[in-house]
Amino acid sequence: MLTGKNVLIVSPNQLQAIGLKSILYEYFSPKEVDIQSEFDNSLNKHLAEYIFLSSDIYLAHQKKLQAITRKLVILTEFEQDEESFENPAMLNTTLSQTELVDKLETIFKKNAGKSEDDQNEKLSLREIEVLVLVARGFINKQIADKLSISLHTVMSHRKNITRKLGIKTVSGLTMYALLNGLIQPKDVR
Amino acid sequence: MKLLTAKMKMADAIHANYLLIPVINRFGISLGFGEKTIENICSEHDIDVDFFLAIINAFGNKNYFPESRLQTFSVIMIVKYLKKTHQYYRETLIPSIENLLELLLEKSSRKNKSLAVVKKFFDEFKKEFFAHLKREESITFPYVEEIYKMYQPVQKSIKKKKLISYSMKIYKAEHDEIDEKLYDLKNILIKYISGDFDNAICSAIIFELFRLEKDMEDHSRIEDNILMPIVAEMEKSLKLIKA
Repeated sequence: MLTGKNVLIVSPNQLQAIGLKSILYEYFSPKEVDIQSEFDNSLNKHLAEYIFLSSDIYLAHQKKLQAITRKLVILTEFEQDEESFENPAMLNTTLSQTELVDKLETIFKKNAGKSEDDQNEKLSLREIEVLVLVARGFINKQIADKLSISLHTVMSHRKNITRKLGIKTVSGLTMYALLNGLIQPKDVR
Repeated sequence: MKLLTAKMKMADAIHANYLLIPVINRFGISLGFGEKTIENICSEHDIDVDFFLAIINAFGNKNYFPESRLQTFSVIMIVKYLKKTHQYYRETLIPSIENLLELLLEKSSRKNKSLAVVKKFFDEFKKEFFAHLKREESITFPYVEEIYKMYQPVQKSIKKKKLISYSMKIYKAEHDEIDEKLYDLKNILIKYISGDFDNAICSAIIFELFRLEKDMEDHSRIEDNILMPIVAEMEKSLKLIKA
């Protein structure tokens, strides 16, 4: 879905853009929603995974936009004969709030990669090993040496641990390890 | 959230958002407003009503933050408010969470070791948090007040004292660190607490942690987005820092 992803809305109609922004925040969990009132060439560099565009901006810059590998949603004011949810998706802005939310949900679902939904959120054995060493007070370099893996691999394990558990700090990870019996209080340095 | 205005009754402002109660307390305003408006109460307490409104309207309101307007207020006023906020964390909110944690340990089975782990993490968090508050009070705020004095046109003739070169930027990093710790504490209580424990007390603790988080978010926003830019601007015109 939209959880943790960035969104960019490009529309000269601020009221429309703000309305969409608050719907996205209220019903989905985007990371950031930026608003731009006009098309500019820095669009390509923007981190957004989804870009919502007013239809006139889309039509005026269609060529350039086709080169952008982001998911595009075009804001229209009419009912489409054929509903399009995939790139570019269409969103009829004259719908009621409930209908808008339903349509948005469909768009995000259709565009979500398969891997995203069936991701295994349990820690792997290797990740548990890394976690235990972090909790015992070892730094990344020492962990790499102990497990005979590269520093880069340690960092990628740590990133995955933080993503899966939602715990960001070392003392938080230590508390997790203690609570789950992965280490004993005497192991903490 | 409804925009609060000077002619509105103070009681209605609280009905609209009860989380403002500790915020208005920081201004020295206590309950029992009767029919008085925000304006009435501010003038009774000698509070700048525009500043008061800016603070309460921006509180916890992610999408409404009048940066340019807030930056027109005197840094002395802003620092005074920030200090009061610190006092609230130190004397009210943190002790209340601490009491709840102690009650939790007391009421739950002694065999439950996980609670002691949580308490230890909280103690660590508290120590770090208080140290951060103290650093701001003993270094940052006096520095800001000093710069402000030097910046006043009348006093410009007074020879400029040499100020230690000092960067406000490190505070942003400290804020992030403290926010992350608080988030982890909350998250662990929600997801990983186990064994025998008093659920009602634990829920109350989580409530208080959310409240602290929300309040701190607002507090850091004022420090990072209001105070820091004003100070940077003054530093620049005093040529303390090469632009």
